[in-house]
Amino acid sequence: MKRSALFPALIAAAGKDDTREYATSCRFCNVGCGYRVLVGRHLKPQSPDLPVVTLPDGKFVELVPDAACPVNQGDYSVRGAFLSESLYTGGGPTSDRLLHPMVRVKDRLVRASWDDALDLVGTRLKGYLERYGPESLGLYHADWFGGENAYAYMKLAKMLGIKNYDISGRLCAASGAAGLMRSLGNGTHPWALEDIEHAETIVLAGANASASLSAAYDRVFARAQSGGAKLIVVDVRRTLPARNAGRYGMFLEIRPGTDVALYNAIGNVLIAEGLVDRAFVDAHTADFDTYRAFVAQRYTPERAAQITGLTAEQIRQAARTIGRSKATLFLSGKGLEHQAHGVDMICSFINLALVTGNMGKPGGSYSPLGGHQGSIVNPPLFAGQLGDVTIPNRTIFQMYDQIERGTQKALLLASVQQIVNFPDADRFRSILSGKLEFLVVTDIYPNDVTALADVVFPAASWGETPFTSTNTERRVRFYEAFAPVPGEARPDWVVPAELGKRMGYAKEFGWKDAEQIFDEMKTGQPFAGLTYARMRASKSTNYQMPVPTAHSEGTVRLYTDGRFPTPDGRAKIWALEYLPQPEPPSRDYPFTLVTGRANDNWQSGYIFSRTPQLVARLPRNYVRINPGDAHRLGVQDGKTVRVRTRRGSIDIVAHVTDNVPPGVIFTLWGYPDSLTNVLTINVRDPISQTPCYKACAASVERV
Amino acid sequence: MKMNRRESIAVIAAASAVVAASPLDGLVGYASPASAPRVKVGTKIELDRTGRLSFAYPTAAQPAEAVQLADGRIVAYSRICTHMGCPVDYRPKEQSFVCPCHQSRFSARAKGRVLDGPAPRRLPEIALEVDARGDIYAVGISAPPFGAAETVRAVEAIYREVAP
Ligand code: SF4
Ligand code: FES
Repeated sequence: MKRSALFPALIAAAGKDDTREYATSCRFCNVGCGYRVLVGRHLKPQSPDLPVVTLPDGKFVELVPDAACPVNQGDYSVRGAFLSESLYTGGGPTSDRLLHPMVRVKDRLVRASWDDALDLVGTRLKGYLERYGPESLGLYHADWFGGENAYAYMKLAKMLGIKNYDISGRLCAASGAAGLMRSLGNGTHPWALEDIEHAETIVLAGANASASLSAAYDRVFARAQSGGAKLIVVDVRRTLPARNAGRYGMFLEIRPGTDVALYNAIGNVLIAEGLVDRAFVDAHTADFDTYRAFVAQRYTPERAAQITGLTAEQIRQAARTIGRSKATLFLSGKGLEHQAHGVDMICSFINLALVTGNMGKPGGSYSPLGGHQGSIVNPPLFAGQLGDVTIPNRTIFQMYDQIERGTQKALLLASVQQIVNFPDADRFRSILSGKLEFLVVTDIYPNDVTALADVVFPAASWGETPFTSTNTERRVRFYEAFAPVPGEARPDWVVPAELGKRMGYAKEFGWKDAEQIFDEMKTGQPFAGLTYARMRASKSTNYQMPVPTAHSEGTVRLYTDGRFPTPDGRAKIWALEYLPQPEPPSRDYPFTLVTGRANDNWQSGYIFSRTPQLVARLPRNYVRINPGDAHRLGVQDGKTVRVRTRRGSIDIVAHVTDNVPPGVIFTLWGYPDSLTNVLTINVRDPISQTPCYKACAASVERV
Repeated sequence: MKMNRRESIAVIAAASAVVAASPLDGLVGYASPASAPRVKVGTKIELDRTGRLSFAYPTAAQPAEAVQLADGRIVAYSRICTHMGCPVDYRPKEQSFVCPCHQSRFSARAKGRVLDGPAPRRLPEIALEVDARGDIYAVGISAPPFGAAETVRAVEAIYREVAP
C-alpha cells in the first residue's frame, strides 16, 4: 500500500471548509520527488504515517508523497519523510529561524529595518564600485534555491558588471556538467528516470545512490531485483548498492581515484571483442579512431587491473555485460565528481555510453545523478541554459584569492554555508574573518557565515515562497507557497532586486513577485513554454525540459536523433590518461580518506540538525575503518579516534566495519558541527574547479 | 523467558512515551493495555523449534512475527514495513527485519529501531505475555502498524468490541 493511498481518507476527514491542496516537491535531492500538500484548520492527526504540523497561523499542514508523480510514484526517502517538520512553526526545533534583518554594530548584530539594512548595503557597494570598480564585489549563491532567485542575482551581476560570480554547484555538480559539456556539447542531463525501467544493464559508478538519491535508487533496485537489468556497481566502499550488485550483477571494488583506467580498459575490451555500436559511432561521434588506438595500446585489462586492484577477468566480464545488453544506462555520482580529475573520469565514463551507442534511446543513456536539484537558469559553466544572462564568472576560489590579496572588498552570500563545506576549511574561515571588508549574508538560520556577517537578511524558504528548480531528468519542479512567511523574512530575490533599485536600476528590478521574474527569465530558455498557471495545473508532475512552447508537452530524453550541440554535431570520444591521486598515502599518513553522504543527513545538515527524528538516527559523525586496520592500531568500535591530515585533525567516533576496504577510511562530508573539511585537501579539478573531497592522505590514532 | 503483566505494561509505557514526544499525542491511548486485544501467538515449544512464530495483530489483517533472540529474549513486531507497507522478513543472523521493497532494516534487538533505509519510524513492537503453560499471547502494541487512517478506524472498531 502506498502512503499516498491514505490521502483520500484524510481529505474526507479534513472537512470541506478551508482545506486547500497544493503541489510541491521535496526540497532536498536531485530526484525531486513530488508531494501533495494539504493545509487547513480542520486536519487532525490521523496516524504516525501522516505527520501533521501546526503552522504559526494555526493551520495544520500535511505532506504526502504523490502517487501520481512519475518521478517517485508515491515513494520517498527518510529525508523526505520529515519535510513537514522542516517548516517554521513558531516553536520547536525550527524556532531559530532568522526573522528580521540585522546589521553589525561593533561586535554585535542588532535588529534593523529592511530599508535601513538595504540602504546600508547599497551605499557600501556603491562606494566600492566608485573607488575600486566591479572587481571589488563578489556574489555567491545556492543553485538549488530556485531559478527566480538565481536570475535576480545574475541580473544584478550583469547590471553592475560584476565578474566575481559563482554558485554552490561549484562544490557539487560542476565536474558532471563540465564533463557532459566536453563530451556532448551541453551540460544538461540527457536522460529520463524511466530509462531505468528500459535498461538491461545499469552501471552505477561512484554513487551510493540508495543513501543520496534514494527514490531513484529504489527504481534501480526494483529493476535489478525483478531480473530486468544487471546491476554493475563501481565503488571504493561496500555500500548497499555494492552489496545489491554482488547479488544481481557484479561489484567492482576499485581503488580510490582509478576510474579512468577501468573505463579505458572496458573500452579496450568492447573494441577488441567487437561489442561497439559501429553505426552509432560512425554517424554520431568524433575521434573514435584516436580512442581505439589509445586504449588498445595503453589500457589492456591486465594493466588496468594493476592500477585498479580488480582482476583483468572482472574487467572483461563487465565489458561483455555492457556490450551485450540492448540498452545500458550509465550513472555516476560524487565518486567521479569530487576528484582532482573528475571531469576526466566523467568523460572516460561517457565514452563507454558513446561507443556502445547508448545515448538518447530508451534505457541507453548517461547521467550524473547530482546532489541538490538545480536552478533552471545558471551561469556559464553550466552552459546550455543561458539565454541572454551571460556573465564571465570567476569561481568562489578565485574570489577567496582576491580577498586574500585585498583586491576584493565585499562578498554577498545567499543560502550557502561556507566554512563547513570548503576543503581545508580553516583556511577559508580565516580569510573570511580576517581579510574581507564587507560581508552580506541572506539565509534562513544563523550559521558559520552569519556569525561573521556585517549585514544579515532573513530569507523565505521552501513552502513559504514560490520558486522553480529542476531535477536530474530536467523535470521542472514547482514549489508552491503554502505556509506563512516567518517574521519579516522575504524571498531571496528581494535582496538583489532592492539593491539593484538602490544602485540606479529601478526599472530593471521592478518585479512584484516571483511569477513576474519567471515570465521575464524564460525568454529563450528551455522552459519558455511554461507559466505558473500551467505548472500549477500539472501538479507535481510538471514537464521535462525543453518545453519550448505553450503547446509542448516537454521532452522525455535528449539526443534521440543522435545530433549533439557541438560545432560538428557529433559527440566527442576522449582519449584520457589515468592520473594518480594528488596526495597518495605515505608513511605518516597511511590511509586514503574518502568523504561522502549518509541516508539520514542531507548535505551539511541544515535541516537535518533541526529534525530530531533524523538526528536520533545519526546522532554523530563517524569514521569507518576496516577491522584489520582497526585491530592493527588498537582502535575499538565506538571509541573516539583522532583523524589527522596535513591540514588539520578532528576527533571522531570509530565505526569498525568491512564496509570500507583495508587502507581506506570514510567519514561524512558535511555532518553539522563536525568539520570533516578541516581534513580535506584544497586541490581542484583543473576544468571544473570542483574540490577533491574524495581522496587525501590521513592517519588514525587512538586518543 | 517469561514476561509478566507488569513488564509488558512497562514495554508499552516506554513505547507510548516515544509516541507522546511526536506530534501525535492523539494516539497515545491507542496502545493502552486496557483496550488492546489479547491474541494467542503460539507456544514456547513451537518457538523453540522454529525460532519464530507468525501471527496477526492487532487485527487479523495485520501480519506480525514473534522471534527468539540470541540472548533468549522473545520479542514480537508488526511485519508491516513503516515505509510503504511491504511485509518485512526476519533475518536471524542479523537479528533484524529486512524489507524486500526498498531495503529498510529494523533491529529486533532494539525495539524495532530503523537501522537503514527509507522507513521513517520504528517497526511497532508487540508486547507479549507467556503464561505458566508456555502459551504466548500478544497483549499490546507500541504504535499503530503502518496503514494509518483505515487501520486506525478498523482497530478502533475492534477496541470498542474488546474494551468493557
Ligand atoms: S529521494 Fe530525494 S527528493 Fe525524494 S524524498 Fe528523498 S531526498 Fe526528497
Ligand atoms: S516498503 Fe519497506 S522499505 Fe519501502
